[in-house]
Amino acid sequence: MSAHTIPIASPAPSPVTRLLSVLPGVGLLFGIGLLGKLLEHTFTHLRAAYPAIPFPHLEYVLWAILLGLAIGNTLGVAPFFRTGVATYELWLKLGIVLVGARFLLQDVLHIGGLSLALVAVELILSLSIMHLLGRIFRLPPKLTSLLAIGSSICGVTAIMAARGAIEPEEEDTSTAIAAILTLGAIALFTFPAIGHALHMSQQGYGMWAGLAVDNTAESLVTGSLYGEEAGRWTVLAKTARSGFIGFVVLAYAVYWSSRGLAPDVEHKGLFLWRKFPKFILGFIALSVLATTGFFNHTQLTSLANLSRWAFLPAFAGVGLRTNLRDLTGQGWRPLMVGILGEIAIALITLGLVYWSYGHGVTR
Amino acid sequence: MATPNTVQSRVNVDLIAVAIALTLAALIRFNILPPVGF
Repeated sequence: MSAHTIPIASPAPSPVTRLLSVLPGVGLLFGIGLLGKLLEHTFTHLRAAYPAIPFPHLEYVLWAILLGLAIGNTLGVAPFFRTGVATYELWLKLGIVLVGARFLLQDVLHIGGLSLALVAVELILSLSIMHLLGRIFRLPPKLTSLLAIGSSICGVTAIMAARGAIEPEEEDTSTAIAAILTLGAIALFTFPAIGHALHMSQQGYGMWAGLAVDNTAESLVTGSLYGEEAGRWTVLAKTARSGFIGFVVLAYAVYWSSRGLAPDVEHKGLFLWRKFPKFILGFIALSVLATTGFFNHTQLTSLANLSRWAFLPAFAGVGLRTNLRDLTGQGWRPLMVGILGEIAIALITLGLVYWSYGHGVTR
Repeated sequence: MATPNTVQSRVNVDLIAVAIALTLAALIRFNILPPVGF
């Protein structure tokens, strides 16, 4: 530091300043989402008015993602918008909590019980497959751990939660996140096609998307692209999967610390609580309130519509932050491990859902 | 010290989402917010 430099403490931005910095990006998210709704509405009218012309038949979910992808990968997201665009995670979680009102507790316990069993099988298989592939392709062990954690539980959140616990190289974290997001982007376009080809039910497909697609946002979008009912089941399966995050990250933290390559975990209970995704508690709380008859039918419909409004900017955010250049921008070996592992996991979970849900069609 | 911030930020986003959702649910339950369409 130069002797002439005078350190000036910059004051923390006030809440009003922070709110103002978020508004442009939030406006962009809602703008893209609303444009998606407008395009769906417009093309529905045009198809009815001019049946001879093959206008696209796309739902607002896909329009929002395509618009986001187009903007994010051509114009890019200007710094002015970035803070607000980052709030897509808040909208996503708000939507998930509100969806809790659409599940009666007995449904959560009944279907969630089956979902938990499927998640447990998926976890064991995903971790085993990723470690096997990591060994075959000779990836650094901590990168393999990150890919295994990301593919078995809930993508980027799990990788970020594990980062502090197992202290990987910075580039390992970036590579693992890029691989998981890339594979999530591929799932957006392949899963619905597979679901339609196999004539899967909304419930069966939704459970499959919740079990196989790693990142929460991509998982929800992949489910919703098949239908709103499918999206609801995706939320349930994905929420059940996210509940395991603390246990898996703790297991890896203990493993790496036992080898002297990560800090010790002193308070395991506290560790589990810190890593536990708290929004699940909100989901359960609204489900309990709905089960006890706290809301009437009209109010439940309003809550369902509020969850749709919350998901609207979240869908736009997924499109905006998906960088198609990442498909080729990373090393081939982590991507190859990710692709092979995800294909194996997708096929296994598809088999599990088929077996558990009467060939994925009825229940 | 990126990790504690990241964890803290995740917790905050989770709790903010839960707080907003419960507030909206209460406003709807007590008819302070009119029926919401989509």
